[in-house]
Amino acid sequence: MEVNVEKIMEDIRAEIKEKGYTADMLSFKEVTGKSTFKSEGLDDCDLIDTLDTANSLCMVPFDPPMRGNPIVVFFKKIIRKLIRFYIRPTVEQQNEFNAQIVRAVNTVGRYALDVHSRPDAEELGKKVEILELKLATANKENEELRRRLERLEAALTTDQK
Amino acid sequence: MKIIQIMPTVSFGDAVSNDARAIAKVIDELGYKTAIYAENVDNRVKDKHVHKIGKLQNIGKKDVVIFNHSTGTKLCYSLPEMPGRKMMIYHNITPPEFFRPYNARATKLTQYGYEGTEFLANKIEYAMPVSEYNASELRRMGYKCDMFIRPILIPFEDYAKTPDAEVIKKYSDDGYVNIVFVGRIAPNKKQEDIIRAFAYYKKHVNPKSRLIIVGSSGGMERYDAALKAYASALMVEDVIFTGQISFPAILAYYKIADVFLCMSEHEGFCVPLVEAMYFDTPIIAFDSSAIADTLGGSGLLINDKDPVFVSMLIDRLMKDQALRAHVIEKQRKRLQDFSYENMKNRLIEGLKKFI
Repeated sequence: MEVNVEKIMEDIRAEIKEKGYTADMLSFKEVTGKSTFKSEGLDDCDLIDTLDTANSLCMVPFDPPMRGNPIVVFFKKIIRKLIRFYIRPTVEQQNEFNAQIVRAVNTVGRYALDVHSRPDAEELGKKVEILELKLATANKENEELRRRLERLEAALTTDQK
Repeated sequence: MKIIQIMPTVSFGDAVSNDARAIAKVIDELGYKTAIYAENVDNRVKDKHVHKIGKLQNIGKKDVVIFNHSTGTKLCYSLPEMPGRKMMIYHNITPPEFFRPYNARATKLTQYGYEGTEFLANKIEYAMPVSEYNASELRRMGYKCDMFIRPILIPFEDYAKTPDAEVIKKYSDDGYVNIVFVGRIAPNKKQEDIIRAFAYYKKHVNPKSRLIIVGSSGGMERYDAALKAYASALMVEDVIFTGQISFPAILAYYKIADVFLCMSEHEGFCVPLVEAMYFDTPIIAFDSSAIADTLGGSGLLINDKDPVFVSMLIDRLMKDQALRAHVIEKQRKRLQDFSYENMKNRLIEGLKKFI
């Protein structure tokens, strides 16, 4: 037996229209519009990644590897040795500063992650918002039931007549 | 001549990564030297073809570099500097607008991806997009090179593995209709529309039903939380979020699925549709992006997300055996188009047009 899918879909649409079926439900936007979901908040993964990167990059090397033409590299190494007395104290000072800053950022980051992981007023706020949304759903369903009851009563009255 | 692939990440179990590895195997069989070079490689991937990009060297002018493109990456900007002839396999990038309300990092990454794709428009000599939808997107971005559409190579032998018996036992033979969707928890996949349709179905059509949303929410935790809040706010029960699960468990969910419901608004190919076809699960899918390309006339393609319509269609699919058999039969025919041999031959045909 040949199955006509388009006809089946048309029949379904016709039935929906005839019987007046509607889906009066909360939309997803009504949930995501709540303050719970509005702010980006703290991105734990982003913070951890950034701290890891900062930790791995905070030390400036004295002697980074040199690549390229061997003759050019040879002369660069000589120059580097000659100016080391001047560069070294500056690099050491920078590394000390970087280490202090990264230590401070690590401490603040750990505190932020710790606070973020604790249930607090924000969680309670989320629960309240969900309850409000559930109440809205219950009200819509009650309204739908009331309308169906009215239709049934009207149909019953007509039958009795 | 070498034919190598480059990509930002080779993940474990990811469709793009699996496709790249399958391609490497085919190129190897053709007798060319080949490898995949990636900036990141998942530790669980054990494949002789896969290497970190630091090991990439000695690419000659006549060698072929295939760029597997599916996300934002600086490879878009380093590719033109590499020697060799350049081609792209385009899997598509999710538009950043989908991520904007939920994840700033993903928004930036996908925006970066689009910019990189546009940058390469006049630098790629040949493209093999995985769907006609992807091809049209490249053309819209100014690509004028020759293109050859080549759907993803899917390892069907993996689906014959043993499914998780516990999952099957838990969710079958209880008289419940199991509506399933498989895919990452991601805003473009519009899992909220699936929940909405299911809520109507469960409350007004068939209370003996459950919705199983299979997929990991990694990186999309805010969207995942919003979905769960939505299901809670709608006061609909039996909505199950599996999270990250094992491959045998995924197989089991396909096995117990009565209907595969997809409301996605952006897909470059959508491998789960083909997986549902493999498991003879009738598909109802919203017509967007590459969905129609992949279904190829099979499944039930809808252009209306009205929960009432979707619910009644699900009900019809469960009760009308002729319709159900018709849908499954068409899906079986479409599945043959994606057989390994067909897709391998298509890949070879596409490669030979360039090499």
